[in-house]
Amino acid sequence: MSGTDRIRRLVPLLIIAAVIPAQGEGPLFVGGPLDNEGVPYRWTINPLTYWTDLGNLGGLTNTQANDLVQEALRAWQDIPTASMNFTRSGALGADVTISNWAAVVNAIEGCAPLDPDGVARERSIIYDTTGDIIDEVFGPGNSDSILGFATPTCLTSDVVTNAFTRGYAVMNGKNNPSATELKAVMVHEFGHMLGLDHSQINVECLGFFGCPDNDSAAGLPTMFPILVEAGEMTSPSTDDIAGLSALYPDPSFTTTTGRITGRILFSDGLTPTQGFNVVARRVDDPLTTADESKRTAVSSSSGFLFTGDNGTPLNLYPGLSPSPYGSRNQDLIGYYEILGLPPGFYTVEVEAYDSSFTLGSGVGPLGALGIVFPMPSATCPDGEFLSADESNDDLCADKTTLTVNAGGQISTGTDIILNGTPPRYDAWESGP
Amino acid sequence: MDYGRLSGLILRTMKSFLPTRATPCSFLALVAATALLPVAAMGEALTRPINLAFLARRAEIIVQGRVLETRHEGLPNYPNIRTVVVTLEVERMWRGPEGKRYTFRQYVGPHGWRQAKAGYAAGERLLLFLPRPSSYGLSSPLGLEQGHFRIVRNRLGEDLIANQFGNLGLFKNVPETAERAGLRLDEAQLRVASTPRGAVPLRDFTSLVVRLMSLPRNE
Repeated sequence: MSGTDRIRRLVPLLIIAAVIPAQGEGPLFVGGPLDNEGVPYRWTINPLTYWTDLGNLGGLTNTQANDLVQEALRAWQDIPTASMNFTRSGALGADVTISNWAAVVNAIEGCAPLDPDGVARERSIIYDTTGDIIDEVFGPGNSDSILGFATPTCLTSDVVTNAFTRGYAVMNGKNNPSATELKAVMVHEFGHMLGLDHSQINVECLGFFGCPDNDSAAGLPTMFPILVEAGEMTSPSTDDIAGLSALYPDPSFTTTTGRITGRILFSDGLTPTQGFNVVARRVDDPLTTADESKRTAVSSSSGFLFTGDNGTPLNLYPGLSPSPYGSRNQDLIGYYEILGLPPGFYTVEVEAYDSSFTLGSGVGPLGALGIVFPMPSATCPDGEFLSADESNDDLCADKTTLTVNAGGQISTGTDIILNGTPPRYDAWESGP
Repeated sequence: MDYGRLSGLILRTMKSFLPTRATPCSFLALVAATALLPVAAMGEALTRPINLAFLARRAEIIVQGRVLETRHEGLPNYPNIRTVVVTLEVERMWRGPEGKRYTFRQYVGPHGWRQAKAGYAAGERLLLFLPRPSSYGLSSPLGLEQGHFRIVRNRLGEDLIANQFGNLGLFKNVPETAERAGLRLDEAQLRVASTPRGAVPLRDFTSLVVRLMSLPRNE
């Protein structure tokens, strides 16, 4: 079988094999063959205008809620290496309640011109004062667990960009959440509205009691799939900063930060693999009390620009067409790209996505399908580092240090060969 | 490809990707946590962790069954609001209306493909903790992924169950809640309730659910 054929067969079988993968804090949507292929979707309106609801939000008055929205958006706007500003254009046409939410969402998602005398606006921030709207959308009682939801919608494409044209967010005010918790939810949900996917950094924070130490908490991304540290998740981490800056770069982004690019490969050293989390961590400085490796880390998902649904022969969803999203360029299957690294010394590691991160909480093109891969080698269950002599039988803890310079890119010697995979996909497919 | 073959293929390919020293239990837990793909679905929602006591107390419908059919369509009168209509062949209605089938409609968000693909697959066995339908006829599992469980049979013929979070945090504080309410849990129920994450035996799980169903409903 030729290499190309092998890769063609690899993709659907990878999807079948599943256990969860994801893409670091990458784009939520990437253009497919009918769009600008391999180009992330983003907003092309700047400043991005938005409209807010007329009611209260939990214990907050309407004015306080509006201020909190502004504060949450400012968390993204204030990122110096990104260029995205926000302007409140006014209020929605009426208070959104259980009596009109469906009409509002139906109008927004219809993508047709909106009635200027209607309630909906292109970017609507809806205050679900007591959780009643969430109970209508998801069923009574779900307002006790769903904190909010948001999405960009009405995707368009021209010869240059893939763009969102509308979006909406619903914030749940039931049970009078604290301003800190509400802000964390807003920052996270607005991140999605801006086109950011979930991200996995410092997965040890998934324990019963949250992050085990302050360093892990400090590096926890706002776009972590589960709200575990509201206080920390109100402000973007290095990973969040890199994600937003990649979508909306300020000119300083490419001159003040560095990047590492490479591929994740099967043990044959040739076959690329999609759906693993690749993390660059700053080398800990022994002269400080902080652990910089947990505080300064940026992730990427291998194959984050590639489609998660490339013609799999399995038709689990009759009547649904293949995904319109993601590139079909096979060179991108195992490709990772870690951007926005402050200059310094870094290690690079590859790890599995946590098996709790699937579908709605998934990361990357495969995570959204509920697919997660474990690390293949018994000797490296928690992941393996990029080593100076990268091979399929190197020690998982054997790591090399890369020097990242401002404006620099490291793209050679950065491929990681996974230990313990079958040598060829055929062997995997027909294995016992 | 029929579903039986699909399950076999998933098991085979996953097995070949597992550590050679993985135990049968870890393998099966992995399969149960991830294998049969699709699930619930709202894409970009953020949820608060909830435990099994909450689910058992608050769900209006607790149904165990096999997905017979899924249909993706707009919400009646609001065609741009995308929903999936799921029909289950009921194996056991733990709480809810009697009948051989149970059908519900779930909101799936605006991105038809992304969320729809993350929907329900015909043939898979589920246990769902659902609210009653809203006035628009919509219901999603409580806590979305947290109230949506898949059942997978291992090679020993034992049924295992895990929700879409891989049961992460599902049993946190459950024994304490039961004790406060004066409910005595047996050894198997306590063993399940001490699981930090990962799939657990269906029989013990449902036994625990039934016990917790006697908790006051609205606390």
